Amino acid sequence: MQTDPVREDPELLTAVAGGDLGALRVLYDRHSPWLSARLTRRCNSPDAVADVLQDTFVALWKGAERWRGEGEVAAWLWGIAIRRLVSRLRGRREVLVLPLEEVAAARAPEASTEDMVLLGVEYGDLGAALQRLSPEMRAVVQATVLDGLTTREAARLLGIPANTAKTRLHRAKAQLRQNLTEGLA
Amino acid sequence: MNVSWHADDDLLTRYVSGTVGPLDGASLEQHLTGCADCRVRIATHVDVAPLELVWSRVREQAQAPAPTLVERLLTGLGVSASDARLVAVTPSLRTSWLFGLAATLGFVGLGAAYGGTRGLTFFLLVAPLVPVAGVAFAYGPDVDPLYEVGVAVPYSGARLLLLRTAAVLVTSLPLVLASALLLPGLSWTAVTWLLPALSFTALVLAASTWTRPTFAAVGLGIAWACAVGAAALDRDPYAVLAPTALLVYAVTGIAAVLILRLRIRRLTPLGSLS
Repeated sequence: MQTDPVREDPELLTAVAGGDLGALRVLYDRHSPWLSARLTRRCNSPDAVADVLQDTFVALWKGAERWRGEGEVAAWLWGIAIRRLVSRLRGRREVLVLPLEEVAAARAPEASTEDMVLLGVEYGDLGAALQRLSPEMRAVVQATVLDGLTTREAARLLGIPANTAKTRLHRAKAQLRQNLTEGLA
Repeated sequence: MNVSWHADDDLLTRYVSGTVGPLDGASLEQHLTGCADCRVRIATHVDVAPLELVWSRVREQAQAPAPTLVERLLTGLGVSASDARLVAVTPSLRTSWLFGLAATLGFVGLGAAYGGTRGLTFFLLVAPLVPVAGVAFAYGPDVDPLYEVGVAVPYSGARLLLLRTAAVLVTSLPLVLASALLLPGLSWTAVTWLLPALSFTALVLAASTWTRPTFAAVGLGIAWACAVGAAALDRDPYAVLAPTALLVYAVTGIAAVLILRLRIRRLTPLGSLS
């Protein structure tokens, strides 16, 4: 994967907005691998992931000028991709969205000590507190807090009513707060 | 962004293969958003073949011509993008055709309004043939520059013909009807001509299961011109829209629709060429 060190992402976006297909290709090489890996963790259908990836870069091609020039281009791209995933899944129940813990549980029954160490480094008490949430609540926390979706979008992604998503997020926050204060005590 | 921490190869492998725990995964994802180095490194763990496939689709879409106004309108109405393209390239929907149609109708309408019996004859002669000509020039080897290409693709000729017929009727009938209703002194004639128009359209469609639609339309046009001419010689052009005549149009139209239903599978491109 050769990347041109001279041309930064924002510069490439400007070129794409001007109709430079070569610049789109460089951006694609840089961002499609991690985007596809991240989407695959949220959706079990390779076809759906491929469609979403295609939609994302076509949207980028058509709307590169919409980037405001603030923050990471990667974060902006993820925002497009996760919303494309949500709309791709609307009304298509054959595509299953796997909450992360189900993917992990299916393939790795036990968390290794190494994981726990890494967790401690990255999240400390918060990591442990997150892990104590029920899978349903964690899925909502992940979709909203980590993926940056609104509760409405998260509900659509997870296939639950919007109000349920809202309630779960609310409860999850309360539980996290409680777990963290208990941890301090 | 804190760059003192970087994902190791083991974590990246487990992340891509889906065996990483939820919190490690979430942690890595947040890091990837801000760390270009790790984004480059994760690429070596991801299978490139499917990504290349997606890229070829992206490139194709990026290089495709932007959909025309008609296509965007149709897709907005729920027509699939490929069908919209097929309808939009209908020869008789081109702007020049519509413009010519509008001009002809203008003259005929003026004739009908101010030219007495002769003008009325012209209106009766032209109005029912407008949708017929539109349908005839919407499909077939004579008018469609893509016809040869169309023969080779696995797309039903009948579907194409009916799609384009619908498009032609939707665009041409309101134009003719509007001009007829704007005219003074036409009264019921402004509406009743629709019956022969629709009947003739069905006839052309049915006939195109045997022959080229243009042949059918020309034959029908000559017959209609003779009928209107004969009625005009009798000094009664309205005779072609007399109640008995209308009944005949209705019956032949229904018969034509039935024949079309029976024979629509014959409407293969090769069949209509022979």
